[in-house]
Formats: sequence, C-alpha cells, structure tokens
Amino acid sequence: MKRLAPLLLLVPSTAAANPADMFGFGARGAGMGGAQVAVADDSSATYYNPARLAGGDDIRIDVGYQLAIPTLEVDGEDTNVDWSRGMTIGLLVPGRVAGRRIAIGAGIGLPDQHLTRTRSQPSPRPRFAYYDNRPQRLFLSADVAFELVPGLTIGGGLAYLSSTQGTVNLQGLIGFPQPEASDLELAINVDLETIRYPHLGVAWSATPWLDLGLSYRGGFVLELDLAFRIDGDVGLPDQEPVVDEGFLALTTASQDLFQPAQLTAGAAMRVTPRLTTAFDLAFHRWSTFDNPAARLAIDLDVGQFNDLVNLPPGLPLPRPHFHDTIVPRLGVEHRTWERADGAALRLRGGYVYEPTPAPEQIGATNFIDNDRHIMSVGAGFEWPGLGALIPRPFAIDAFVALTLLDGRDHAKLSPVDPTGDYRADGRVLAGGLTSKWRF
Amino acid sequence: MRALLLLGLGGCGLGLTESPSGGGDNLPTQGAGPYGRLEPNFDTIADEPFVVSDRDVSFEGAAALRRSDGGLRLWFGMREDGGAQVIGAAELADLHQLPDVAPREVFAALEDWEWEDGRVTNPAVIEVNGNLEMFYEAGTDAPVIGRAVSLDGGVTWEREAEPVLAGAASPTVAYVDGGYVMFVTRPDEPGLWRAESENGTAFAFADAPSIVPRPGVVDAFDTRTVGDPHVLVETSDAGRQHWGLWFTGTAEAPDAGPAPTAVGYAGSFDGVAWERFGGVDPVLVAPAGQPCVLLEGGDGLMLFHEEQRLHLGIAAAVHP
Repeated sequence: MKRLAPLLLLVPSTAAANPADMFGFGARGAGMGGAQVAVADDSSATYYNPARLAGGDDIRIDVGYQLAIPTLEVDGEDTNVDWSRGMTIGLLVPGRVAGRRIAIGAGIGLPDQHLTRTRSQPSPRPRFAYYDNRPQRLFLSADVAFELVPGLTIGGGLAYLSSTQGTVNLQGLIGFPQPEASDLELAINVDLETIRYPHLGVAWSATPWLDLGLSYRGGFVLELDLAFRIDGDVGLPDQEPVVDEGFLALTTASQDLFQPAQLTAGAAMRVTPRLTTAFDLAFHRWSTFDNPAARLAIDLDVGQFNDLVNLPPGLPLPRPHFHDTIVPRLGVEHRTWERADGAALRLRGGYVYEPTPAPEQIGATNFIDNDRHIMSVGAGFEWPGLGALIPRPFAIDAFVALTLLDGRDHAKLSPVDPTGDYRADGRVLAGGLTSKWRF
Repeated sequence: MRALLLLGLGGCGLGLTESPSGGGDNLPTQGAGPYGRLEPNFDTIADEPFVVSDRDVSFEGAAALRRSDGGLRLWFGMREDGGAQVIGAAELADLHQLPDVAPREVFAALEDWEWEDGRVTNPAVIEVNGNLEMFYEAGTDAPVIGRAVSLDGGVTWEREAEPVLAGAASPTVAYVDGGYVMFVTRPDEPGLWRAESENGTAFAFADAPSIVPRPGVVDAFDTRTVGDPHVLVETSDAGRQHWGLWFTGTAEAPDAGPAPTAVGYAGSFDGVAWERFGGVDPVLVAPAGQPCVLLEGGDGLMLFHEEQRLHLGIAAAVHP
C-alpha cells in the first residue's frame, strides 16, 4: 500500500467572505463608506449592526441590486477577475413587547452568477486573494433585536453559508488490457453543510445628537472536502485478475472560504439637523488565516505493481503570515432637500482606508493584496407615497463607489521563483440601487 | 403595490451580460517551466509539435522574435541533404499553421573567410537600438562566434569580417545596460561560459563557467554535459533585473550513440550567480536541443530542435 499525505497541489482561489463584506449591503450603507454601525436605519442593519433593527415602527422590505467591476492588474495587465453582481433583499419586522421595541430582520445577498463558487488553482499561481471568489457567495442572515431601556438596544443573529463535502465511489471490475470490459458502479454523494456564524450588536442613543454602536461578526472557515475512491479487480471477466481487490483512494481537504472575526465600534453624530456624520473603526482578525491550499492524500493498493508506483513526498504548506488590520470608515449624509409632505433628497459620501492583511509575497505563495482606498457617493430619494397604488412612504437609494488599490511590488527572494517579481494594482468600480418599501 | 414589488424583484434578478470566469489571465511567470510539447492536432495543417520541418532539410538552433501581429520570426541553422550548413529564416503566424514565410537561406559561410570554414549555424538574434544583430556559430573543428547586423529589419545582413569570440559555440546574447553579455559553450572546457563586450565586436570570457554539469548529483538530468544556452533578461515592473538561462543537459551516455539532451533552467538576479530550478529534473524532457524561449503575459513558449524522420526540425513547447 502506498500513501501520500499531505501533498500541496491546488489552492482554492479565495481568502475571504462575501459580497456584503466587500461592497456593503444596501445602497445607503455603501454610499456612506459602510460606516453604518451607529447609523443603519433600515434592513441593512441585519448586516451592519442587528441592534439597530429595533429603531422604527414600520415593516420594511428593501430590494436592491449591486454590481462591482474589478480591474485588477499585475504588471499592468488585467487579470480579468470576475464581475460581482446580485440582488440584496432585506426584511425588517418591528413590534413591541411589554412596551419595549423588538424587531426581527433577515438579509439575503443573492449573486446572480453563482450562488457559490469554488475554484482551485495551481499552488504558486498568483491570485487577488481578496477579490477572486469572495463575491461569488450567497449571504443569508437572520437577526433579532430588543430594546433594553429607552435608547439602548441589543441584537444578534446568525449568518449562514455552506461548506462542501463530496465523495465519488467507483466499484467493480477495471478492464485491462481491454478498457471496454470494465464493469463499474458509480456512487456520488455531495453534501452542502450549513455553516453558521454569530453576529451581535449594541446600539445606544447617547444624546439626541449622538448614537453609538458596537458590532461583532464571527469568523469562520469553510472547508472543502472531496474524496474519490475506486475499488475492485483489474483484469478481464472470467479470468484471474491482474490485481485482486485493489483500490485507489484520493482525498483533498482545503479551505474554501475564510472570514476573519470582525469587531466594529461606531459613532454617528447629527452635526446639524440636516447633516449626519458617521465613523466606524473595525478590527479584522486576519492573523488566523491559514494557507488554503488543498492537502491531497493518496492511498492505493495495486498488488504486484505497488513497487512501480512512485509517489513524491508531501510538501509542507507555507504559512501566509497575514496580520490583523484596523479599518477606519467615514460617512456623511446630508438632507439636501425636503418638502412638507415628507419628500426628501439625501446626498451621501464615504471614505474607507483598508490596509492589506497580506505581507509582501517574497516566497512560494502569491496571495496578492493591496492597501485600498474606497471613495463613495450616494443619494436617496424619499416619497411619502403615490396615492392608492403606493400608500406608504418609499425610497430609492443609489450609490457609486470606487476602490483604488495602491500599487505594490513583490520582490522574490529566489531567482528561480516560478512567478518572479511583479507589481500589482487596480481599481474596482461598484454601484447599486436599493428600493425601500414600508408597510 | 404587490405588482410593483414583483416587477422589481424580477427585474433585479435578470442580471446584466454574462461575464466569463476569470482572475487567471496575464499572470506573471518567469517561464522557467515545466514545458510540455504541443499536442498533435489532427484538425490543423501543422505537424505539432513541429513548427518548421522538412523531409529533406535539417533545422537546428532556432532564435525567435515576435512580429508585431503576434507571429514569430525565426532564424536557425539549416542544411539540405548533401548541402552546407547555412543560416536560414522563416516566419510563423501561428504555431498550428504552416510557416507563412517558408524557410529560406539568409546567408551561407563565405568561401574566402577561413574562420567560417564552410559552416554557419546556431544564430542568436537580438534587437539593439532598432537594428537586428545576429551572433552565430561558425567553423567546424575550431568553432568561433561571428556577428552580423541588419539595418533593414532582417532583409539583408552585414557580417563582421572577423569573429567576435574564438573558441566558442552555441551563442546566446543579451543587451543589458548598454553592453553585450554572451553565454556560450567552449569545445575544450565543460560548462556554460559568460563573455562580455562593450560594443559587441570583441568579447572576453569570464574567469569561470556560469553553469557546470553536476556529476555528483544523483538522478540529475545534467550530470554529464551542459550546453546550448539561451538567456533572457527582463526588468520587472517592480524594477529589478532578472536573468533566465535555459540550457540542455545530458546524463550518462547510453552505450550507443549520443545521449539525448533535455532542457534545464537556472535563474539569477545579476547574470553572475546562478541558481538551478527544478531540482534534478529538466523543464523539458529529452530529446530536446537548443532551446529558445519567448515570454508573453503568463505564458512561456519554447522552441527547440528534435529529430523527425531522420532530420532535425524546430518544435514548440509551452508553459504552463
């Protein structure tokens, strides 16, 4: 019997999380640079801070669409990272219990290309770790919020993703030297197992002009486990088999997706009756990110031919050495125009500086990532309703955001590094609309 | 109200145009290898992996430059059955088509130049200040390196009257920082040797070889000989120079006939200190002679010569 484990072969092409983490959830938040922990007032609170769900009296359904177009370059050439696009749907149902506000909320980020995608790349192949598979994820969350005392609410919930486990089994006779004489039974078993991670928040209206918030989002790792096994004899029917009861088993275990634990503190200040500023400071625990490369184990028994099979020894996976990051987010919202019946126009802007958690790629790994500057603008139109057709107030929010990646050089230690030195930079243009309906 | 909601939901779900999966285009590579020969494709007119071949002519030691349309300009040593070894050229629009400029003679050895001794081959062609410069091997028993310059894009060539380096064969040249760096083999010394020149007309050897065989390394593909160097110097967008050197190697010779050569690779940041790639393995398995590598985007293209129907032809391999 020959064994080989673990052997580095392929690397899932992703490092982290979901489209909401990258481009925000809902157009209002995205237009304000994602600085929403202390200011979210719609169903997007399911993502930013569930405690802020318990802030209103209307049932709300928010439906939107977001699009992100990356142009991520290595040595001046576009690597053609996929666009990200999909719907966002949020639900907020408030109520009161014993005179205290209570609310439940749910959020869905629904990519319209891939509900989920996992790709494996050859180990040394460079890839933009932050952007590659990350947006191609279905995001689900369900939250509940309570008002503890007037002005102080807590909230929490769970977000859902799925990991993949699959096996392929072949059993029977492998025709040799006549492949057409093979007689194999095939069994495939694939499970998408639910992964849940917690989401907690606190919101406090400290003064009439100051709101504070704290939000925690749990980290998680999605595993991708695949196995292939073939059992049986090798030979021809009704003849002595060349290999009796041989087998080949191949299993891979890799990290499909990683999200760092995130703790965010935020403050929102109504500077004037028309102007609100929001500031978030987020801690992202990237230091727990491990090399996502597939660990491949091969086990085989081909009887008399075992000595002819030479399996190379497994290679240790280099650690990615990511480090924790602090991400500041700044947002402003100005009620630029309003009418007595409640119609209003709000203009928004935001800025985020997101330092990269990835070190310079000087060795065998090529997890490309850069410091990012995200600048966003947005607008929101509110109507008091449109007669009998739409009797309740509704709103349309829109945003456009530009992410600029600082140019970054990667100089390899070895002159025979297969990838060599390179320079990475790029930009991501994102935009979206959210329609917000009250009932 | 409900109708509007449904309309909104439906409209949002339609999505825009399909975009292809990506993220893997134009990725950087040093082109070290491994390389795989072009797979035969019976749907094309070409004879993959061969790109230049003829049942009556041998082609060896290719040099290549990209055409502006992405095609290839090739130079090589060629010899018709019963004829002399001359420098030839051809052009390819595509690796899977026949040459759109058929192989033709560029120049032969001059009868009154004794040092060319009736044989010219193994050209190395580089572009310097808008002109093409060719360094080629000449002679038989005592090979030397000659130089030719073309001021009209390769239509005509003007040869130097004297060799630029004596006692050397299989040249490959890089024009770096205003000077010429050549790697060659020497008939009387093992290894690959570096030689330098300020103006390209007179080269001087380094004191020691850059790459030598590895007789003490078990299972190495180059325990017995190294030869046929091809150098490529690139400056990355990060601003650092990188030198790549592909070369052939042989292990112990079989009992009969010459040992087949395989192609290996070494890299360097200064062209002086070299590190081998791939452990004991070659980047292109034998039989493969005289590599020439072009890098573009994330791809490496290697041209080499290999026997076909009792003649040598120019074949292609790609990485990754």
